[in-house]
Amino acid sequence: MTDISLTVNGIEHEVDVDPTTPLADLLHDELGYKGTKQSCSTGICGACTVRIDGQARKSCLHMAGQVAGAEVQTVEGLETDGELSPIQAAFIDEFSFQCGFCTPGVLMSTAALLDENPDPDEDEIVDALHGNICRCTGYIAIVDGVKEAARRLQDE
Amino acid sequence: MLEEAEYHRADSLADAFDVLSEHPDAVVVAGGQSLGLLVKEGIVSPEVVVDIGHIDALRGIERDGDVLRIGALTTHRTVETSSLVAETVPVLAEAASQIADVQIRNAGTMGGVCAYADPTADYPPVLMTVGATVHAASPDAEVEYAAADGFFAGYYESALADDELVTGVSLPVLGEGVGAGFEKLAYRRNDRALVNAAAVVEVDGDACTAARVAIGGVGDTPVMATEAAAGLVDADLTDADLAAAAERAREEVPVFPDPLVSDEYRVAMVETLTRRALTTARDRATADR
Amino acid sequence: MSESPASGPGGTGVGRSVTREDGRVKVTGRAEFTFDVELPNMLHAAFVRSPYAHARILDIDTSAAEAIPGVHAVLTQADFPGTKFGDGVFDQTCLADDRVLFEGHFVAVVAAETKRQAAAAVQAVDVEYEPLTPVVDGEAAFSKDPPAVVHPDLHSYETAAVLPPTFVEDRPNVYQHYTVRHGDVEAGFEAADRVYEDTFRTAPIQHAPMEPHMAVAKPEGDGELTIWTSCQALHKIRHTTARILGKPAAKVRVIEPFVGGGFGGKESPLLEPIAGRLADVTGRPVRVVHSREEEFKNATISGEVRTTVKTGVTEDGDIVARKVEALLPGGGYSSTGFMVARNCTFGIGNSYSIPNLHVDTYAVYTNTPVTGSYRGFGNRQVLFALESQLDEIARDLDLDPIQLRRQNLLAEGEVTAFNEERTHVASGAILDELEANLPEPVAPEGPWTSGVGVALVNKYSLAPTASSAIVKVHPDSTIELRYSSDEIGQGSTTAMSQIVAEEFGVEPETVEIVRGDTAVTPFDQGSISSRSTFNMGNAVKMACADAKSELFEHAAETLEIPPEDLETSGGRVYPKGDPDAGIAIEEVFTKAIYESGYFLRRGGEIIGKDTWNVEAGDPEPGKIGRVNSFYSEGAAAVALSVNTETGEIRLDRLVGVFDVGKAINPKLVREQIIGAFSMGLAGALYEEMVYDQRSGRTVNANYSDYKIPTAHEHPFDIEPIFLELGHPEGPYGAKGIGEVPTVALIPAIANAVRDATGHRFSELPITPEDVVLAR
Repeated sequence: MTDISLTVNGIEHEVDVDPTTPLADLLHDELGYKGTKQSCSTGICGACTVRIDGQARKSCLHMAGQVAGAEVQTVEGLETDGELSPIQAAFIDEFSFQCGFCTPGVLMSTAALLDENPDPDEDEIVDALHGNICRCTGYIAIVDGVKEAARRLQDE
Repeated sequence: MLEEAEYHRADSLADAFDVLSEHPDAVVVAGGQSLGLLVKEGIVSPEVVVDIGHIDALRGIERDGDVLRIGALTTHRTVETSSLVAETVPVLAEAASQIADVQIRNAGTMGGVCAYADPTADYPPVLMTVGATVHAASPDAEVEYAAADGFFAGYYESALADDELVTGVSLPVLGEGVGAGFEKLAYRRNDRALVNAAAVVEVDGDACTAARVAIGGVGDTPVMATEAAAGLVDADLTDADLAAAAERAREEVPVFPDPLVSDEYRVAMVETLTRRALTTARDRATADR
Repeated sequence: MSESPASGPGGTGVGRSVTREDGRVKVTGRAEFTFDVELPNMLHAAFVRSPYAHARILDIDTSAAEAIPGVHAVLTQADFPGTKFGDGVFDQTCLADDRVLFEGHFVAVVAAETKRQAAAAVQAVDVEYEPLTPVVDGEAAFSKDPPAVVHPDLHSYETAAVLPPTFVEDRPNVYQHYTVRHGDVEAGFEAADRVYEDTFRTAPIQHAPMEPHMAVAKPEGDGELTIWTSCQALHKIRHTTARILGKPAAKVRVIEPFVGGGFGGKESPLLEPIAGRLADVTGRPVRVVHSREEEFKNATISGEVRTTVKTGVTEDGDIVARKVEALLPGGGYSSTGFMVARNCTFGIGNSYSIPNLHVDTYAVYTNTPVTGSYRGFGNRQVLFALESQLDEIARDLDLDPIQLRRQNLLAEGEVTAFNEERTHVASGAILDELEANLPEPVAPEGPWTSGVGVALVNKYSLAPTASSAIVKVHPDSTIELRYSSDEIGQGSTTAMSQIVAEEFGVEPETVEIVRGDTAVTPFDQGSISSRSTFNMGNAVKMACADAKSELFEHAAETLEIPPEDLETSGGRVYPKGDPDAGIAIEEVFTKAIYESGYFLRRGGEIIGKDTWNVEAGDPEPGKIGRVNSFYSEGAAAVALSVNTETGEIRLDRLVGVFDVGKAINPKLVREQIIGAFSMGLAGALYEEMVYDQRSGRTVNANYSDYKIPTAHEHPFDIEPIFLELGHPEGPYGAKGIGEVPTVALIPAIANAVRDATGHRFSELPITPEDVVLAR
C-alpha cells in the first residue's frame, strides 16, 4: 500500500491504497463519493467521468498513483453548501436525465465544457458529450440542459 | 495477481531509467488510457508501474524554424486545440480531434500513441506522410526514428528497443505548395478506425513533385501506399489522377480479415478514403495559386 | 367504465409537466443504486465462467481457491438447492448444472473480502470440461436431428401454470411453438390477386443498461435475507428467489433502490438467488455484480428472429391473407423467451384487419446467451419484417404507403385473429396526424441521397396482470403512496405522485413516495410491457378513493355531514363546493398527551388500498375473450440521407405519432418517445451481437465492438406527437408509451433507406457496409 494524497471537491484526502487502484474505485468505494459510477469499466461509456485539475477525465482509466497531488472534482462538488449549481438546476428543469446512472458523468463533462467554453453551440456540446453514453434519453433533453445551464451561468 | 503493484512516479527521464534498469519488466504509463484498459481486462498485470506522466521535460509544443516539436506527454486535446499546430501542421490537429472523446483526449499522449503502435491509431498515417521523426532516449543515448520507415514495426509493436522511451515527435512545418489530408472511417464517430488514410502532396507550379499516402486500420501496421503515391509524381493532380491513385492504393494495400467487418467493404473504403485524403491534400497544396 | 380525460377535483396533478420527483437526488449523485449499496463486512463475489458454449462439466476443484486468504466461499451448483426455475419452462439453475449451455455460463462463484482476492480465487478454480458440439444456428437447432440437444430432459421439466408453453414432439430443441389460426389462409391466397413472400432477420442485441445486473444480499439471522437488487419486477424477483432458495417468501425481503436502466432485461431472477445463497453460507453481506462482459453473456439478450411472411392482397391493396412463420433462436435457457414467441404474434393482427391469418412461431434452444424480454418484446423484430414487406407491396401496387395502411385498419369493435374484441382503436387518427406531418427528404448533395419511410405498429400490454397500491393519509395532511412499480428511469414516481396529487388536490411535490420494498409495498407485476401507467395508475387511483372514503368516514363524525357529501383538497376536508367550511385533515385526528403526536380514535390509521387487475388468457376457439390489457398504437416517419460512397446513414428528421390516451406528464411522455426512438435507431443501424458460428462464442461482448450509438449518431430533429384519445379503462384515460416508438421507428428507417437507395435491406442492423456492398 502507498500513501497517496489528493484533493477531492476541495477536501484533502490521504489514503493508503494500492497505487494501481482505478480512481473510480478509489472515489466510490474508499472515499465515499458515491455519485461516481462505473458502467463499462473499460473507458468507453463515460459514466465514471470526473474532473482532474479541471479537465474531464474517465476515472476508471486512471490509477490512484497518477492523481496523487491532483485536484479532483466529482458530482458532489458541484453544489455549494447544499445549494444546487446552475448546471444541476438546469438539468432538473430540462428533464436532462431518466434513470440517472449516466448523469453524474454527464454533469462533469458539462461543467468542464462550460468552464472552457461558456457559450457552446450544439455541435460543440455534442462533441463534449461524445464520451458519455446515455441509454435512456436520446440526448435531446441533455443538450437542452447544457444550453440552459450555459444561459444560467452567463446570467450569474 | 494478489500482490499489489509497486508504483514509481518518475520526476525525470534519468529517474525513469533508474527504475526501469532495476525492473526491466516494469510497465510504463503516461496517459494511461490504453494501459488502463489492458490492466482491467487482465491482459497486463503489472508488478511495477513507472509513471512518466509528470516529467516536465517531456511536455510542450514549440516551433523551431521549419520544424514543429511535440513533447511525448502532449495530450491529444492540446494538439487538437493548439494554435501552433494549426499554423504549422493542421492535419495533425484534424487527426487528434477524431480520437475517441474529450475525456480520453485530455489524457492520451503523443508518446503513448507512438509506443503503443495500435494499428488503428490516427496519428501514425499522418506522421508517416508528413515525414515526422520519433525521438527516443535510452539511458545512454538519444535516438531518432523516421515514422515512415518501419517505426510502426508490427502488431502493437514499435521499433523502440526495450530500454527506450519516446521523448517527442518532430514534424516538418507544411509550407507553401504542400498540402495534407486525413480521413477516417468508423461506424460511430471517433471509434477506432476501420480504415484511416493520410495523404501529403507537394506541388511546384502545375506539377506534383512529391506525394505520400499511408493507410491504417486494415493491417498489422499502417502502410505506405507507395505505388499509389508514385503514380502522382509529375502528374497534374486532376480528379481523375487522384481517382486512379486511389485505385492503385486499393490494389496494393493488403486488408487483413476482421471478425466484424468484411474485407470487401474495407477494401472499397481504402479507395474512397485515399481519394478523399488526396483531394484535400491537393486542394490545400494548390490553394494559393 | 368510460373516463373522459379530464382532471379530477383538485386539478393540480394530472396533465402538467411537473419536474421529476427524483431530480434532485439524481443530479447531486445522492440517488442510491444497487451499485452504491455498501454494508459493513461486505464480501465481493466473482464468477468462474465457461469458455465453451457447450460442454459437460466433469469436475470442479475449488480447493486451491478456498485456500486463498480472504476467500469465504466457493460455490458450485451442488451448493444450491436443486430447484429449477424459469418463466414458462423451469429449466434454469443458478449456476451451470451438469453441462454448460453457453459461453460465459457461470460454473462457480466465489465470495472474498476484496475484489482482488475474489478475482484470484476465480483463477484458482480448476474446471475439467468435456467439450460437446454446440448448436449455434437457429435452423440447425430447429431441425429434427440437431447437432446438439440443449435440454435432453425438456419433457420432464415443470412448466408454468398460467399460459404454459407448447413443445414439438419430434424437434427436441423447441421450447415454445405458438400458433394463431384465423380463417383459411390457403383459400385467402387463392383469392388474392398478388402474393408476396419474403424473409427477414434481426440481429440479437442487448439491453446494455448503464447499471449492469447486481445484487447485494444480507443475512438477517434466522434464515432471513434482505436483498437489494437492480431489477424491474420486484415481487417476481422476491417470490422466485425465495422459492429457489427454499425459503418462505416472508423470509426474503427485496429492496429496490433506483435502477440504472432495465429495458426489459431485469425482470427475471438472476444474481439475487446467488447473492442470497452466498450470504447464507458465509453469514456476511455479499455483493454480486456483472462485469460488462458478463452482462453481455450471462444476462438475457433480445434474440434474433427470422420471420418469413407471406401476404396476399387484392389489386386494390386489401390484405386478404397472411401467413407468418418466425424462428426465435433462444439461447441456453427459455427464460421469458418462451413468452416472446407467443407475444410477438400480437403485433401481426392488431393494426390491420386480416380475414385469414396463420402464424407459427418457434422458440428453440441454442448454445448462445439466453434470450428474453426487451423493449418491444418480439414485436420489434416481427413488425420490422411485416412493415418492410408492406412497404414493398405499396411500391409494387403503386399505392401510397399511408393509404395502403389506412384502408386495411382494424375497426373499432372488430374481433381480431386472437378472438379479442378491440375497443379503442387509434390507428386511423394516428395515420392522419402522421400524414399531416410527414418530413421532407433533404435535398441530395454530393454523394448523399435521401429518402422517406413510414411504418405503423402496435404494441400490446400484457394480461393477465395486477397492480396494488396503498395510500396513507398522515395527520399533517401529507399523502403517502406505497407502491412497487420499478423506477427504471421512466419517471414512475413522478407520474404516480401526480395522480395522488390530483385525487387529493395537493401539489405533487408534497406527496410522499415509499417505493420498492417487499416488506412494505404491495404487489406489482413490474415495470414491463408498457404497463405501469395504465395498471398502477388505476391501482393508485383506486387506493386514493379508498383512502378518501376512510378519511371522509372519520371527518363525517367531526363535521356531522354525511361522508358522501365531502371532498378534500389542499389538506382540508369540507362539504362539496364549500372549501372554506370544513376542517384541516389534522383535525380528523386526536392529539395525544405528552406531545406524542396524533392518533386516530378508531381504525388505527387512514389507509386506503386496492388492486387493479386485468383478467385475460388465450380464448377458447369460437369464444371471444380478453387477451391483453391495452394496445399502444403508433406510427413513425423518417427522413434520412445515405452516403453512397461510404454507406453512412444520417437520420435527418424523425416524426412519431402515438396515442397515449392521456398524458399524465406531457414532458415525460415526450422524453419516453425520444428515448424509445434512441433504442429503435440503435437496433436498426448499429447494434448486433456476433457469435462465432462454429464455437458459439460471443465475439463482441464489449463496448468497443458492440456499437451503442453515442450522441453523435443521434438526430436532434425529432418531433414526437402524442394524441390523447382517452382509453376507456386507463386512469384519466392514460395508457403506456414506453415501447411502441422503438417498434415503430425501426421499419420506418428501413423503409426510408429503401427509398433513398432503391435497395430493400431485410436484415438488421443496416450498416454502411451493407449499403456499399449492395451498390
